[in-house]
Amino acid sequence: MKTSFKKIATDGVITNNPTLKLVLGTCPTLALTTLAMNGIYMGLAVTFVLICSNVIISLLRKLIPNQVRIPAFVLIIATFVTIVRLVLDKLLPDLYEALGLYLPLIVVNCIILARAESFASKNGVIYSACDGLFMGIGFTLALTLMGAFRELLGSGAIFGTKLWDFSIGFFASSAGAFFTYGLFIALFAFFSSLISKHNKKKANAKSVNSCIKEAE
Amino acid sequence: MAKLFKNVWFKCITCLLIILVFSGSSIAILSDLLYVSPEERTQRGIMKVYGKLVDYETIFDVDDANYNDDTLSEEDKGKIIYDFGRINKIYAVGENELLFQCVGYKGFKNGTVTVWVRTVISEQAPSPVYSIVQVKLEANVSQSLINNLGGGYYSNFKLVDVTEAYKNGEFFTADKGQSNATNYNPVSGATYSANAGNNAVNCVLFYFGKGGIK
Repeated sequence: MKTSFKKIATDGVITNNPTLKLVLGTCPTLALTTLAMNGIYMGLAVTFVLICSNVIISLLRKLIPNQVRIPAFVLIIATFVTIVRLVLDKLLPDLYEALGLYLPLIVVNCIILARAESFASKNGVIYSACDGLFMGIGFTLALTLMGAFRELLGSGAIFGTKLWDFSIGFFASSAGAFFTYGLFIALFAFFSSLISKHNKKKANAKSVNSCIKEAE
Repeated sequence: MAKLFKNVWFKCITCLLIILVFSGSSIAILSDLLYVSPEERTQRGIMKVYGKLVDYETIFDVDDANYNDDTLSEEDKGKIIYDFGRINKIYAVGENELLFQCVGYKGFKNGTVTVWVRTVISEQAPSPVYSIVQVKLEANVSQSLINNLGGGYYSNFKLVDVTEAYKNGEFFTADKGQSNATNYNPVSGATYSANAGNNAVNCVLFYFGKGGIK
């Protein structure tokens, strides 16, 4: 199938959303979504690493021998993660502290390695950069929505602003993270199937109409 | 020789080595450019409390003085290490302020809560009065409900005369069952985290109560 910017964008954000559809990058998704802001921070860090690693891997795709492509990808990804760590520690220490242990763990985030292997190593630089950007946006959106949901129910606040005193501690716990993740995947699957059914009906109606027109 | 250059494994190793050299050198340059000194880290912590850069003098720092070596006398160790928490750092800020970094134990899942405690010393006859004026969260271990400890929780830690409170057997607690719970500071839904926070501030209360490091 021919690659297009529109397809890359819809794939990354909706059709193949890395968190809710492909269920990749589960570790930071479960651990960091206690706050909506954490979701945004983690999402932005992953997006930066995704774009940079995709660009470099796409540039070097014809030079890296097939036998060592995975170690080479991991080396490239680890370099960018280290750069992100150094920059955040120096310039945005609060953000660095908020992400904590999960920042170096971006190296083993399946989304980045999966995109490097399945997309960047087979496509041009600009397409790969776009894929990194939209996959990152999809990941950020999913984490932020989950974070907002858990923060609202678990702490009665949203983006750090306290709304009410009522809170359900379960949603701030690890068990709450699994529950919320499952709930979001189910909702995503439900709405995806609704949309695909609607699109199928539309396509069917179109083909019937064209058949009638041809018959006339 | 030509055979060697065409060998797949030679190409693989060369490719990985080239990537390694480029990655390593770029990281080495950046870590030199973006180095964060221990002084800068300390300033960042102090900035959280004061909101601006301030001059300070280190009185005690756990990174410099190991609890187990002879840097501290047994008497002084008893003033900074308790079974409910410990004092990590003490800084003198200006002429009449002491800033403590304390760790409170016995939080959720036996985790800890680390806070900054700002104290003011006012010279009054017959002896100086130590007051707790500000408490700020620094870090936590395993406290998943720490966000439930809102601003109100930290502002409840104000205490005018710490020594007097210690003499009267008062301390901060999240447990209503405590007999001397005159400074009762719980948080519904995050009792264990609140307990560790209280324990952290109690370290300062006990520090002054026992006379402080000479």
